[in-house]
Amino acid sequence: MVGAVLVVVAGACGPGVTSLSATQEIAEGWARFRVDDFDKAAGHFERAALHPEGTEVQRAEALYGQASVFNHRRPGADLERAGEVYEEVAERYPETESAAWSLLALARLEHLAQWGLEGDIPAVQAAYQRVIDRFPHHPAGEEAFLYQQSNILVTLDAEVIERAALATKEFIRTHTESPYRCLAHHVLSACYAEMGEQTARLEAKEKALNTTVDDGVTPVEIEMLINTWLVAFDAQKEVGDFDMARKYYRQLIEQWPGSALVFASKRALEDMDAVEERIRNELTAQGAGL
Amino acid sequence: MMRAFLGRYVPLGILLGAFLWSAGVVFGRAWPGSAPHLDGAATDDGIVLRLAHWQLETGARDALDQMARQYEALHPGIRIEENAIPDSAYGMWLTTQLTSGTAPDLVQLDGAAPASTLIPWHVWQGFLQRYFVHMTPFAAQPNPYNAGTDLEGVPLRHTLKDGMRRAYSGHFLEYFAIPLSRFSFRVYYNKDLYEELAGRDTPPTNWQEFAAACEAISSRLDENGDRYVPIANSKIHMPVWEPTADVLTHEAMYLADFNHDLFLHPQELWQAIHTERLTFRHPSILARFRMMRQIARFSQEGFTGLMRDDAVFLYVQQRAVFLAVGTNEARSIAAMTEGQFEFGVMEMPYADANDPDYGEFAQYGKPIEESLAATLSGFMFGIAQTSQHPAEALDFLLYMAGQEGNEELNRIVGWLPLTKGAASDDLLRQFEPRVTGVAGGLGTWVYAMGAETKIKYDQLYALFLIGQISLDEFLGEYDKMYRDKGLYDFRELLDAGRNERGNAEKLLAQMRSKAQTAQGGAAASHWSRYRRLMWQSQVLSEAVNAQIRRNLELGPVPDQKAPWDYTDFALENVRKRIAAELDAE
Repeated sequence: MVGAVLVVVAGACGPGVTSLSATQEIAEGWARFRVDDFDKAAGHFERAALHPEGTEVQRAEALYGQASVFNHRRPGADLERAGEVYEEVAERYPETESAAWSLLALARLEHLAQWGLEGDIPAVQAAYQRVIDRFPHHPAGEEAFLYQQSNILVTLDAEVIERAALATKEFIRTHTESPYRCLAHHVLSACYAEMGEQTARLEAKEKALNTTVDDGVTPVEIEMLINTWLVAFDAQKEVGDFDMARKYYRQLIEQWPGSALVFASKRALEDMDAVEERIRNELTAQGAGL
Repeated sequence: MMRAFLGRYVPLGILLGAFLWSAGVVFGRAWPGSAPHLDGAATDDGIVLRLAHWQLETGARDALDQMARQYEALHPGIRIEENAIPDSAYGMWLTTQLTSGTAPDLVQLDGAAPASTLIPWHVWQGFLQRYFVHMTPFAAQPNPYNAGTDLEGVPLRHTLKDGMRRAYSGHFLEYFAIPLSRFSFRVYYNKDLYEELAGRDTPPTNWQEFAAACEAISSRLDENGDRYVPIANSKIHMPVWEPTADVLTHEAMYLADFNHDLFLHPQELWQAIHTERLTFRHPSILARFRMMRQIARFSQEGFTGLMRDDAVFLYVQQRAVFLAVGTNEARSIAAMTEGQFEFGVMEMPYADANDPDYGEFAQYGKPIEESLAATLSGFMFGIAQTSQHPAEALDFLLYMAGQEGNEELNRIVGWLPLTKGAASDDLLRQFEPRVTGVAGGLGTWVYAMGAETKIKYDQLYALFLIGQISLDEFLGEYDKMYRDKGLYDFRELLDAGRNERGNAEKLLAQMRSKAQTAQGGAAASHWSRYRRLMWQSQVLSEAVNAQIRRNLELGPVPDQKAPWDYTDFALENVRKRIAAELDAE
């Protein structure tokens, strides 16, 4: 009787007990992870990690997957265990993709624990530097750099931020093929904003706009519209570069005629004319007064 | 002995039998190749697609039904079954279906969870991400049902007037549905009653004329000695009137729009009030509330406690002249008054620059009703991940989103089509949203930041609208509370950002795993969205947060600039350039 029950119960567990390759287990693990099915994801990653035919790379990825489950499952996240497993991946499989993403994940754990607070910035900086040093041109390393600079922005200390600006400029110079260049320009713009360098800020903002990638699938229209508007606005109101402002306001009006920003762009064009006329009259009157 | 035998073993036998039967059902469902849990989804007659929605109104059900029959005629072997669920039960029904894996193939959706479920927004985004097919790749492909039209070869999302924005989750950067209709509001007015009571045969063209008409109407008595009501209103209708007043606050917005995006967030208003760049007694804000009080005064007594039907009946019974009407009910309300009185359609009555009371604040004209950022589309359907026939489900949606199909669908249901080039009838053409104009102003949502401030605002605003407290009393009491308790709400909002960062980090891990396993163009697209999410949710948010906290601590600063002012540096640069030009002349 008990045996019959056990057989039925085991059978009712269905096809999950079939044997998959390590690759399949990992793929299934991520598929389950992506729909928040963390228990099943953990099971797949565990089987992949212990798979007798698994390669080093696969074992690294399986462990990384396990660490990701510990890190991100809600409820029931175990950040300490996640950190331990990420470290294990970085140490045991140092040349793998998974090692790069594990180091980034460790730095993010450090950073997120202090988000919004005046925490241990040097510790966060060091965690990101570890990724950057090991994987300078890997996406994980490039992301680590951007996060590292944003962490510096938190200090609101213009001198410290100036160093971040220099580092970001160097990143842009040395990572010519990086898909993160656009974001680096944004970070640079934010640095200059804190340093009070409005002209440099505008230049970086314009470069960020002009390096935005349209992959033809992701709708970038709203992002491009807003960024075009902000470049024009800053050119007009922050820097007084009316030529640049006019260029981008007109581009906005032409490219996005249905936008709520068209009205404001037209008003801005009129306003710049009015400001120039006022100043011209003032200067002419001053000149005549002499 | 027999009795002992039966008494011992029969109950056991029944129990064992029941257990074996239920185990067999479970075992059978779990075995690959068994009949799919969507009963009837695969039959000897071909494919059956199930579609669920909450539109109980006859027009919508007829439209879906007729479109289904037309599609079936084009695609023998496919049958579509429609299931209308009352919207009061829709949320709970849908979430149960999703979590149990029994959802229909096609499901009506919105960006926010159904109101009855009280599911927080970010949790609902998780539902959309987990349970529905991501439509992003399809949004970039042409709709085959636009072949032979001017939309042939155009990516799906560019064939829809809202760019498919309504169906895009900014949370996980994917499309999750296809919207099929467009909505807006106008004002119906009883032409006969209006002419008789207001003494005019042309509709009001601005607020001044509208207010004068309302005053005239409310001064007249009917055969029972009751006053006529200018506006048939309710707590459902009142928000529709608010943009009429919100647009007056444009000047105030310039004092609080710190990120210069022409959209005010509650945190921005709080910063502006806290740093004394703006007060609640700014003339444009006072004007806004005065106009809302007028609208309330022109409405029937007790309207703040009434539902939609109460207002509709008042209008249909010719006790009120004006009624705010959405496109979703335009035809049904027109039908209710057919043969009783002639009605007209007018825009919301905005103040213009010549208005004696509000002209000073109405220099910018009428507000834009629809833009790339604020879409009025809806009637969206997503495809459940558990659908056994996602390709067929998508094809039916594309059929209804094609130019011809969308026009037909909306013609039947009586709504505005969403697909470019799809025509609508004379009545609905009057509802076409205005796509030019000034951006909105301070909407009512911006005055409260969190639980504490919202409760107080709602209480005081309601008392003000019905005239129990004056504007001065309303703003005086709210201002004090806003500055004291609002700080608590404001800090809560900033601190909530920490949890949100954790959720975003999980989302990034999920997106990264997808990007790493995708190939070619799909991989590029996934990585692009991954980097966008990384930027918008993680990289810069912390710096912005830090700046906000700094402003919080600084408080008012002498000679501080307003967010939209020219900087001294900018004006100096302009001055230098012009001086050089004059020297060169």
